[in-house]
Amino acid sequence: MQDEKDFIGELLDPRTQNTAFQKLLREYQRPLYNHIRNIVLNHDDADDVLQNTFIKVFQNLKNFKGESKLFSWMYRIATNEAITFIHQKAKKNGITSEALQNKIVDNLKADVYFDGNEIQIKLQKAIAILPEKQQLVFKMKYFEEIKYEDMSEILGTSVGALKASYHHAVKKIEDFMNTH
Amino acid sequence: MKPFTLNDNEAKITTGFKPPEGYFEALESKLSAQLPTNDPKVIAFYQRKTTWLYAAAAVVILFVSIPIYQNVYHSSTEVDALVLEDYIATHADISAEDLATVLEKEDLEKIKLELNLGEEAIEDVLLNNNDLEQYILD
Repeated sequence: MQDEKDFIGELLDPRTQNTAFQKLLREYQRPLYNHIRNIVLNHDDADDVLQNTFIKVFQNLKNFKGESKLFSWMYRIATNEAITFIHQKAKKNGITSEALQNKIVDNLKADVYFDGNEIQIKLQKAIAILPEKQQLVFKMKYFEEIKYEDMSEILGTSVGALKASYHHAVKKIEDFMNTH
Repeated sequence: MKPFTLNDNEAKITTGFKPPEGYFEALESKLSAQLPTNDPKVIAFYQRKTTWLYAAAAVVILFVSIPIYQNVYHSSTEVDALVLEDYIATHADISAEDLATVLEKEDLEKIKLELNLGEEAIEDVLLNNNDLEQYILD
């Protein structure tokens, strides 16, 4: 992407705002969709969260200080939105976030927007047993291939702690896959 | 059977999640419609209902407040006693005749009664004030 400062300027200028926002959408809608979908698992929920994320990004652009990269700022908003969504949905259903996740994973076979096999479903089941933070780190590293440095900026956690989290997550998943 | 590992030598397992066909194309237009516009709407002054309401309210208040003001501050037609006294004191050219024409007979007698000092009092004054004798001789 072009110089970020110039691009943010275009996003804030009412004359160039619409074109710049279209550009932002085209660039980020796919990776952000994947990131959100990996957390909420279901397409309809991912669609809701993605739209809210972009609306929040648009509304808060004027407050964006440029202290972090636009990319990590947007990922941070998307992550917070997705996790809040999961918690609210679980609360509404009167169950825990873990129980909700297990329920969604169990229904993956019937999901028309899931094109996976037994191994992929088993992997999702293994991820569902991890603590929330380890799940997030594993998904971002393994599926989305986000660098630890970027992840550190998004999640506000040190690179060392992220590496440790990923290591623990991998061990637990491998154990689950070999024993189930 | 080979144990399951997630190391880099193994083929990566993907999530298997996919969006509906044409989802991203539709999202663009859906989002554009949802975004708040930053252009302020131009509303003509005369079209503002509130302006007319405020103007009408101001006129009503004005009409109501004028009579109230007049009633509160100008209801008394009598002259304040202090103001009258002050007027008489500063306009000293009012003579006894002037007062006599204005005052009734009863009022004058009242004044006379009030001034009835008695013979002893007059004598006292005359004794203590030598100058008065000179005035009387004159």
